[in-house]
Amino acid sequence: MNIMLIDDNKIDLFVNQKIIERLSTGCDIRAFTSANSAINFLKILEDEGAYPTMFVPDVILLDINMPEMDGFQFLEEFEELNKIDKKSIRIYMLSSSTSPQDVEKIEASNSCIGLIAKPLKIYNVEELLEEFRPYLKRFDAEAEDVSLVGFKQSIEV
Amino acid sequence: MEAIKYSLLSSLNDEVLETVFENSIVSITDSLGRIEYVNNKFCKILDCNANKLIGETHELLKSPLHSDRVYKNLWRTIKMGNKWSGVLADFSKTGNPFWLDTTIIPLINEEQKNVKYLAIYNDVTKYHEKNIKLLQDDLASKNFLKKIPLNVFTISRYGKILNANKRFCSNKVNDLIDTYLYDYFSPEVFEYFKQNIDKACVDKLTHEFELYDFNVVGEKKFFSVVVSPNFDEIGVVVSATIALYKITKHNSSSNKLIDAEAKFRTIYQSINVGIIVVANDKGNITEWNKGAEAAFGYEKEEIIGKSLTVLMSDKYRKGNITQLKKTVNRIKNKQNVNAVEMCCLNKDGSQFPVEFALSSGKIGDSSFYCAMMLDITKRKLLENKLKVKTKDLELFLYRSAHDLKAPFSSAEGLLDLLKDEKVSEEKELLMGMLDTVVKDGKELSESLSQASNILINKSEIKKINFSKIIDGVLASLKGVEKFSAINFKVDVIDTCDFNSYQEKIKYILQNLIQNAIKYSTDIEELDKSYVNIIVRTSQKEVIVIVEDNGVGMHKKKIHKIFDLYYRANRFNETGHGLGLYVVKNIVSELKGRVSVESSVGNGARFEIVLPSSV
Repeated sequence: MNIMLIDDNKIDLFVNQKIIERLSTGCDIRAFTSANSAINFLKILEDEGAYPTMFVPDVILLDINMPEMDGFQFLEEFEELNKIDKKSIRIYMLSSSTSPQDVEKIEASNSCIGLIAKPLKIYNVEELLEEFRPYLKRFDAEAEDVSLVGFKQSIEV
Repeated sequence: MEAIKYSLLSSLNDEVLETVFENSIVSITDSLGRIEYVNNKFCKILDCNANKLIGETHELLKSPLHSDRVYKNLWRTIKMGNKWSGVLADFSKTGNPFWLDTTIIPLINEEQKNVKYLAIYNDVTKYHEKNIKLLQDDLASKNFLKKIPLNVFTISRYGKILNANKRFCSNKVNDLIDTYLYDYFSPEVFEYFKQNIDKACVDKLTHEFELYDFNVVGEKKFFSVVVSPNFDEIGVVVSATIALYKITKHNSSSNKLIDAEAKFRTIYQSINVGIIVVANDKGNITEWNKGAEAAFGYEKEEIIGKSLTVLMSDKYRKGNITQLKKTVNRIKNKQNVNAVEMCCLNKDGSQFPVEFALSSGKIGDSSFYCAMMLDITKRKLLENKLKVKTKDLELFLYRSAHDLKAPFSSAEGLLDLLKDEKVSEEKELLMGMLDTVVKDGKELSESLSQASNILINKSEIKKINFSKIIDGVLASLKGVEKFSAINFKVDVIDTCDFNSYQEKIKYILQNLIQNAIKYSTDIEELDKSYVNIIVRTSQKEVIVIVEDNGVGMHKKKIHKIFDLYYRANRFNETGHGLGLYVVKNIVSELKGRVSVESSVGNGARFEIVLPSSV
């Protein structure tokens, strides 16, 4: 599973990365310290065409409060992308803010699935993986989850 | 003489002429003024013998009783051969004054080439003396009129002064004429004064009334007034005579009253902070003080008698009038009247806000209203400034509380990582303490940002879906300690719509439920714990009840729990004394009420009642 982390706070990025790695070592994690660089990365991806070897995020964990471009602005830009398979990318806001205004905005947004309160906890990642399972494109061979074994076999057949 | 004789009809003989001469006073003078002939009667008037007169110059014609001009005129006339007539006066030889109506006729004798003057006199001394007496009488009565303490005027129906007996208000009689009597009184009494004068003119009867006025220093002056109409030949009132008598003598008690009134009036007139307008029951302005003059720009003379609505801004007139009517009705029903804020208009057309307090009183049968207006432009400005400042501060609080959460979250994340590392027992203890501190800090900033969020974000009024809010609240509290063990019972019956601010209602529920969880019984008996959330709506109000069977609190502490930063349970350090304080503020903002029932060990029951229309 490819996870894109976007947060201007490097410590948060580090913590999130560590938590995810702790649960699942098979995840490919890319961390961005600004929403700008993340959206640029996605744009380049679009221009060059999606190669199977390239990093295409399955999940994006997005911080809300960031300088220059905040989480919601990132979402707007993201929605403008057209070549990429947007539906296969699941975006979660990851923020310490739980203000009703932000919650409302997230509910109204098309591309954002939900809000995860900072700091990222183990059980958050578990939930993420569980929800992600039906959407798995490439099988993660190293996944320890038993239920995935049957899935793997069926693909191989 | 011959000339006269010739001109007489032949039938008139000398005897007739003699009779005429005997009965009239006649003298003949030569061209130089020497007497040539006098008759008996002339001698009698002068008290003198004819012999003494003849040949003398005619003294009569230059008596000191007349000015030289009269003689110059006389001589010029007769020298030109014209007849002269006029009144001449002199003293007799014994010193008695006499007046003669004199006609002098020049007689021209062609033969002798000289001129003689025939003077025929008529004794008018008697009339003259009568006249003088009359004049003296007139003067005496005039003096009397001047000396009496009455001011007597003749005025036209419209109050124009046609005549006056003496000075009035330090104006000379001549200056008074052709001015209007009303101008000498203050505008407040104009209406009353005019009514009474009109009454006399219409009824055609003498009318008496009393009048009061205030002089420049605010002293009250009383007048007793008599008006009597004057008629022309056909009985139409053409003018009126009016006598004003200034009443100055009062007994001591009323003197005190007058002093007091003068004092109050001076105060009232000179107040320039409070704007005071007194209107009668028709809404017309009857009094106007300096403050009002300064604020509205109208002078007393311009505004009195005009409608109160002149002072109101066009834009807000309708609203103002409804507000005024409301206030007047409240006064009529003897209810308490609060000061209202209104937008007023001054003479230049600029608007300014005022605080307006209305009171009423009754004099005789007519009621009056007194409007006290206070120009609150400055206060409004300050108020607005304060609002902006408060908003800034609220935003500042929100931003800081909100931003403070981020580092706490980061620290919490780092601690989570650290927990998985193998550390010594001692370090683990320290880490546990650090964890508590960080969580506490995060919670504090969380409740601060929640509270301030309620303050700064004013959403619109929407229909409240209580079930949805409660579900949302419970979902957000899932991570809280003890949550999973507690039995929640949600009972919502909201058949009637209830409209309010979503966030505020949510905040109330969030805090009450959060508290119910926080103060549930200890871990051992947790499986018996329950929290009941009950919502009932009606046309009038909505009732929200949150009750638990938790630790409860001491009765003495109940009244304190809504205070800022008050924490009832000291042993449990999770509270910040913020939540219930904000709850109370929201409830009072929504004009509702909150009540608490609790005792130690028996849980707590919070009941909030919010009215449907705010």
